[in-house]
Amino acid sequence: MTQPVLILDNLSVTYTVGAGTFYAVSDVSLEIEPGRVVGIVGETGCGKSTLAKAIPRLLPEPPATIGSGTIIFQGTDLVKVPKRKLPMVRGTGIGMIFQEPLNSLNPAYRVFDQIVESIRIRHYREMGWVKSFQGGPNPFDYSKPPDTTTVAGSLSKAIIPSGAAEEAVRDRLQTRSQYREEVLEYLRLVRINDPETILNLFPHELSGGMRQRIMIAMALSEKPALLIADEPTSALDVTIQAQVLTLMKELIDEVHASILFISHDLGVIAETADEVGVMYAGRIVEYGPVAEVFKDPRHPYTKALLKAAPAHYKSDGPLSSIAGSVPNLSRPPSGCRFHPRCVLARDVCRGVTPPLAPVDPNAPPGGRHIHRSACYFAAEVPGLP
Amino acid sequence: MSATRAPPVRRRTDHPIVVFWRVLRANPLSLFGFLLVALICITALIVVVAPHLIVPYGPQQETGPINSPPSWQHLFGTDGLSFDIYSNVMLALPLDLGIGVGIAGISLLIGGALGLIAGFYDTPGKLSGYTSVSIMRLTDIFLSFPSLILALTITRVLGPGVVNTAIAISITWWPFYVRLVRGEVLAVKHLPYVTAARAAGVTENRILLRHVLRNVLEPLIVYFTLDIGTVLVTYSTIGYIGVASKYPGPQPEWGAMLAYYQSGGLINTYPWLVLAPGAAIFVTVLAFSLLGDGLRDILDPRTRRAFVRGAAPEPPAERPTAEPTEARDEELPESSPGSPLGSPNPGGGT
Repeated sequence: MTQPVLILDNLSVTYTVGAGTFYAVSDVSLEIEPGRVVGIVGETGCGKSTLAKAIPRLLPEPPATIGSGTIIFQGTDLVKVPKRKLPMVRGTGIGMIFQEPLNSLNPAYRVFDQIVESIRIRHYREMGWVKSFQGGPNPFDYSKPPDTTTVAGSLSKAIIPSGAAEEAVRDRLQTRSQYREEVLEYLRLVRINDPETILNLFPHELSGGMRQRIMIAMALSEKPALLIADEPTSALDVTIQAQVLTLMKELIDEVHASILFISHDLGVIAETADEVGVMYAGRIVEYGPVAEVFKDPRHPYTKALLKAAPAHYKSDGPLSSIAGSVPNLSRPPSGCRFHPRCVLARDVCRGVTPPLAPVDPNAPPGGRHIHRSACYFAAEVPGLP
Repeated sequence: MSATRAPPVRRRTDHPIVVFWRVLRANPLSLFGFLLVALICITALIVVVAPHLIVPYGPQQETGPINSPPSWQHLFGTDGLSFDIYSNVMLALPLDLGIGVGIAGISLLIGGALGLIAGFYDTPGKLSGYTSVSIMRLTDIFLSFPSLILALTITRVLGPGVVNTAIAISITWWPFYVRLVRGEVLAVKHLPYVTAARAAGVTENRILLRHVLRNVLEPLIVYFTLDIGTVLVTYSTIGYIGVASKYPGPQPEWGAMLAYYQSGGLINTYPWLVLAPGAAIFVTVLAFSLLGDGLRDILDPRTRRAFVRGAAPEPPAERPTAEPTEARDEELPESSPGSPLGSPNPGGGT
């Protein structure tokens, strides 16, 4: 039985702005098994990015507050980790790819320097020169042979710390040319042609797709146990998007990563993820294996969302949309947050928030990877137009 | 079009000094400023180390003719006490240069450090927040006084003299740097690349010193070089009022010289007297201002490349031909008009 890389338990994140409180993420529970790709899909403003940034505690606190719940990353509750220790978790523990590739690279440094910084962080932690995070069982023990829990594990030609003998340490001091080789390796990993030239360029000399590849290379070069991809393809135009997506898919197969993949694009999630959580107004309303959720949605919102996705084979007729608008998260609707827009809504929906319950009534309780829906009338959803 | 390009010859070095030179060469005014600053510094050094090489007379050496116009004997003429003006202007150079660079430098260090701290560590309600607010209010207090008057007052309290005046100006000068740096830090610290660095596990202090400081440096250095001129003028003003240095005296100073030469109707009778110290101040300020402009271009990687390309056009890197779709993505920005940071027409020359 493998230990999940990440367990979110009833995580709630609020923003306090002035006198108002925004319930951006409410009671999100999630488990990511090693080597699995979990997708989160939802429309703009549903709390996807807040969730992504809350996990490595990247949200500025204040205004953000982690109201309740736990973020158990490899056995340690990150909510309880003091702020100054958080950098030890980030990068090598939880890596991130952001949605703004154009601004996510420091304009003042060459590609080489940026990737080397990441490699150096990992290298120093592996060597024990810099304290890495020690909570519970050492989560960053790369002395074990690379396994499915480490992104890019299959590529590691690393640098495994053995004994603290001084000579060994001296051998581990990487020279610039050794770093260069490693950087080139990661650039090739993300399918960059002519990496020797790219190395010496500044970010502004690269296209958006190239920059996003560099970002991916930087994240992978730290060999994180969990990679969070926060809409990695959203800011790119369609052709580049397809390329980066193909790359991501190939890398997922290659390195057996544990990934939390966040996107508003149903197609992207369908192609990349193993399991998907559909978010609406800060809550996960439906969860389950991708094929099941998309083929047989059991929440009215998922159903409507899938219907609203433009299909390329259907060119006639207006695009369908969901009536009503996204609720104001400073005063979310009572009960099920989707009820004001829902065709199935009844009195019970306004009163009590429906739990995320297994769709199959015969399913054993407590299963976290089976198809679940937060709707009282999940059985009626397939009959919806 | 890529088929007709010559095979790539990429032997361009990217050594900072080489880049520095390329930008300067592409930008004649900056080059002029740079050469002028270099000339001023070398001259100042010679005056300090071996004055007899370029300074023919001592500061208070009587040379014979009184109030003589410029001649080969006395390059800028002599004054009412038959002191050689050229020699005095030269002897004042190291002092004035040191004052300018020194005061601006001290302000840069103190104000810059305080600005970084106040801008970066400002979590409200925590110790850092209170520190930040304290620094800024202190800065505001200092900024609320007119700096020249405050400097004059402090000089009065400390007593006249070069060092005391320098201290007085420094005390009034650093708040400008705090404001400048803090503003820049506030703008930079929420940019995605700072968050990205944080997500990569970079510690806060390192983010400040490596990622934030580097991107604040550009306006800071430019302001610093321009400020050297301003400091010089301020010091000369105080010198002009007669609080800082005395002229004639053993250590001449441009401001004091100006004051002396235009007093008592001298400027009407012997107008060339003020010319030399005035020109000295003017040239020094101008040189640093031009240098500042050039440094801005050098420090910004975007304009740096643009200038380098403009100066020495060269074929962009050729790549091994991949699948067509792949290649489109990997073109250099010359052919990708979508680059939002758009370097100003890299190929087009200047």
